[in-house]
Amino acid sequence: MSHVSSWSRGILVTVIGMTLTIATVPCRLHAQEPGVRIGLTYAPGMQPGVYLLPVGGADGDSVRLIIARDLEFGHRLTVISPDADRGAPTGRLNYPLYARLGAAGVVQVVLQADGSALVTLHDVVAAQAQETRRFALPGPRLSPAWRLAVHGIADVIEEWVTGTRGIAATRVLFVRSGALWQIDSDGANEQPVPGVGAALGPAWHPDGRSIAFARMRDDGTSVVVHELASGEERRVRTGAPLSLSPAFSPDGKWLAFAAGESGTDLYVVPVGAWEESPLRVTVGRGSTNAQPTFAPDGRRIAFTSSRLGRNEIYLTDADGANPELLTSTALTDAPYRADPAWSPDGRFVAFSTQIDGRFQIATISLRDRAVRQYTTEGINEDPSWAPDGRHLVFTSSRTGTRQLWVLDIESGRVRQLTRGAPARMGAWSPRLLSVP
Amino acid sequence: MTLRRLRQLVWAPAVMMTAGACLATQQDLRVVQGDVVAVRDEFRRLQSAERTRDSLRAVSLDSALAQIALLLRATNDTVRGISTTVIRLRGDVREDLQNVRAQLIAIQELTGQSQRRIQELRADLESDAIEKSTAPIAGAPIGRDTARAPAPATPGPAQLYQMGQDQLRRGSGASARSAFSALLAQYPRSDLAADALYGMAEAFTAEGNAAAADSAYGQVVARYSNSDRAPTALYKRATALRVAGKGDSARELYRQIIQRYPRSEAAVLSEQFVGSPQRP
Repeated sequence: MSHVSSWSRGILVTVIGMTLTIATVPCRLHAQEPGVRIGLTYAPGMQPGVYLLPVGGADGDSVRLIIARDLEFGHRLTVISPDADRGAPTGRLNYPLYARLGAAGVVQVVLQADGSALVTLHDVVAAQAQETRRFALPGPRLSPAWRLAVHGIADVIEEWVTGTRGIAATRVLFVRSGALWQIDSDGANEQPVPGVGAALGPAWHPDGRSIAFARMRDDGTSVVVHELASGEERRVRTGAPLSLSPAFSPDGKWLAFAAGESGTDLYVVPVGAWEESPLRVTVGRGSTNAQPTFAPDGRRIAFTSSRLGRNEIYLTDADGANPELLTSTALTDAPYRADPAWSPDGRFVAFSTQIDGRFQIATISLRDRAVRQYTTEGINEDPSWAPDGRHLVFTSSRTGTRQLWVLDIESGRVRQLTRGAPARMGAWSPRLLSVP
Repeated sequence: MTLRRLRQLVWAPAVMMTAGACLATQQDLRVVQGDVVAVRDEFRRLQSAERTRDSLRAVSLDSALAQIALLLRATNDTVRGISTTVIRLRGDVREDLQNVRAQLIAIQELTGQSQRRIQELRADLESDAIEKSTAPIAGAPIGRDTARAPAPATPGPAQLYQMGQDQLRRGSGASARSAFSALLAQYPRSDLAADALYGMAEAFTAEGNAAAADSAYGQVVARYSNSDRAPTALYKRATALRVAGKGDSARELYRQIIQRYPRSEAAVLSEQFVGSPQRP
């Protein structure tokens, strides 16, 4: 009896809570009018329905498919997509019908004769168009640049509805058979990065135009910065036989990397000033200090160090002051932790941690040091954050071969990104389109 | 005078002398022969004695040489043994030193971690103590006096420091400063005072107030020059000057760090700014 009553109380509290939430949280789908507004809301954990109308024209189906998939992969919206053979609607939209289908918004894409796309988001509750924008779609049709532009449309739609720009217009660098490859965020356009060849530990510059990686030489490794458009390369002069794991600061002004011989320390060098002497950041005294990752404000660096005799994640100021241990929890266990990646919102550091002899993906909160594990199946390592701070790309052996997978840390859902030959060391790009 | 005549004149005395010799007695001849034999015997005896002495000397030398060789071999073995021992000892010592160094580093790191944990525990303890001091006494009769709320207890230094750190981590510089400031005001002799002052400087830095941060770092060095925070505070000041383009002033501070705190990590990092640029 008491169970029933407490359960009933729980439901009541939930209903009241939801009602209050709906009534109090501002609605992004509504037109921005002063005064009281009533309507559907977007809040973390919610996935408002968005009805994606059929798109007319020769490439209409491709455009709609790409956008629908991007919105699904974003995990913030529920896409309601009718059969394509229904055809693009004409005349005024039947808003009550879409409301009955569970849609809070309706997305209408009209391909124009000049190759651009006119995109409109309709607010179903307010029964009116909320946002309209024209997007250029660079030719040739279905080329990587064209697809990237369509991804950009999906990102803007997500921003219109949720307030957060999507991550579809991004790419992931990874290593396959020792060479550097790239793939679109939705798994399309998988191809080697031209003119790079063998590489390890890739990293994106925040402007998305250049990358850095470690290149194997006969006598060690060196850090190379590569311009994607021109193919121009600059080797960072470290003077050490081993130089590896480069990472750009969020403002793009510094490049951090590990260098040394028997042990490695972290160094930073101003981007572009490749002939300057790098500045030392860590005092490892013969231990291995590597895999730097900057905090979003660029003031701190997380990195891997073996200075305790086992690999742990450490934090240090970017000038080398105040190094501190981040991940150690107990002295009795002897785990191995590596691959730190600072989240774009600054709240977490994702890393690989050895659990029962296998690497798994986990995050540690910078605020209270709480650790959360996300994977259990197979060997999982090399996490890299998407620009939204919600998705991670990582290497997993869960299907038998190492492939890249994408994890949504809020829902825990994963999807496979690469297929075919083994892939590892994924590095998620920044947003590659500067859509206003 | 012919040549023939001259030859006759020469030979004549020789023939005369020979004839004279033939006239010596038999006795004399025997004496001479005896002398010759005696001399010969003596010579042989001497030769034999010399030979004996030589062989004795040779035997003795051989023996000595063999002994020396033996000694040399033994010495060589001993030296080799000692050398091996020394090498092994050196290796052991080096390994031990490395282990000691690694353990020292580990201890330093763990000390840092423990200090953080101890700090948190101290804060928890202080919190518990405050709760106990403010809680009503169990079993006491509920009357007008006991029902009266106890005076609110003030947080201890560890609690204040923890609060400041938490606020700093959350990005709230002003709140962090007020916690650190309260600690310094209420517990100026606390062993966390240097940390609190350093925290103030960090909070100013987080707020973008470089001048105030520099001043606070300077106070850490001036007031707590023996604390672990002092070299780092000095390093922060030097780095701020370097970034601001004041290379000479920065170098002066880096030199001070190396001189005053040669064992600190800040000193190791400072070396790259005072001498020739270091390559990894």
